[in-house]
Amino acid sequence: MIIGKINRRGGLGDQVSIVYFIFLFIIIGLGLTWSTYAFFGGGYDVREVQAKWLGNEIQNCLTSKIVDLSNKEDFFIKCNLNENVLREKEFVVRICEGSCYTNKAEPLFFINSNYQLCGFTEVTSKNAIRCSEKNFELNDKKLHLIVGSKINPRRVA
Amino acid sequence: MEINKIKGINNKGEGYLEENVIYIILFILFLMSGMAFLYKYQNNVYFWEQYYSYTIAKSVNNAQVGDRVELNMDRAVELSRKEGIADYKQIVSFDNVKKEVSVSLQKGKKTSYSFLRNYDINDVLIEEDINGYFLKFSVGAGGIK
Repeated sequence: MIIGKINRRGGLGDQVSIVYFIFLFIIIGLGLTWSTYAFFGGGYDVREVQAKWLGNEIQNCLTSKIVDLSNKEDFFIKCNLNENVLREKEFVVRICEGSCYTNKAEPLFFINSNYQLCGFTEVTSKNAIRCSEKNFELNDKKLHLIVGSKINPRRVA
Repeated sequence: MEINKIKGINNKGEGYLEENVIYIILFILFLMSGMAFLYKYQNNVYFWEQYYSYTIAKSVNNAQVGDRVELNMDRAVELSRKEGIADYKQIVSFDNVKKEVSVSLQKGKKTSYSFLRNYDINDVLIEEDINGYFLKFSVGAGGIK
């Protein structure tokens, strides 16, 4: 009678230990998966580099060529940029006299309008916009240029 | 008496081993699946697809009309072979309408990135020479805004 009780307790012990064993594997598996994704899954973030490159290109274009900012076609032809790509890939370009953040007047030139997000540098989301800002003089006017990029190379099946 | 005791000990030992066979099998299965998972990710194909698509797009952005661009693709070709792509000449493609470059180092998948210039990319090929594998393409004026 006593022996029987002991045996049943032993069986319960086996079940507990296999559950513990599987639980341990799940924990280790999750740890392995997380660490692999953390190490390899970061991807290749080019948003900031791309925004800086585009900012430099636009500044060089405006200072080296006579560009009519009120004529968008003239801007895209002379600066050798593709309008469709910039619009569809949600690049932000805004050129203002003074500051784009404080100036109430219309910007001299813009592509896509959500430039305000460039002011929130604390947003670190993977899909957040990364920006580059420049202040330079052109024809005795102080210009403020904001360029933003939110697109990284994307994978398609 | 002593022999019986020893037999008893032996029997207990065998039982212990049998009970633990399931644990050993589970452990081996876990180890194998973990190794397979790590093996799959050690190539880090997605990262390299991103790297090459951005690098190629950057080269296009910095090129002038009439330029012939050459880029080393050794790592890409090596990875595509590991991933079972037989024809390395197909791993890079350009879409002149979308102004996009695509790199595929894994079957059925590709990573794309846009270049910002109004260019058309022509005469695309990947060639092997004594220095390795090189992607070569010509930059022409684009017809679509």
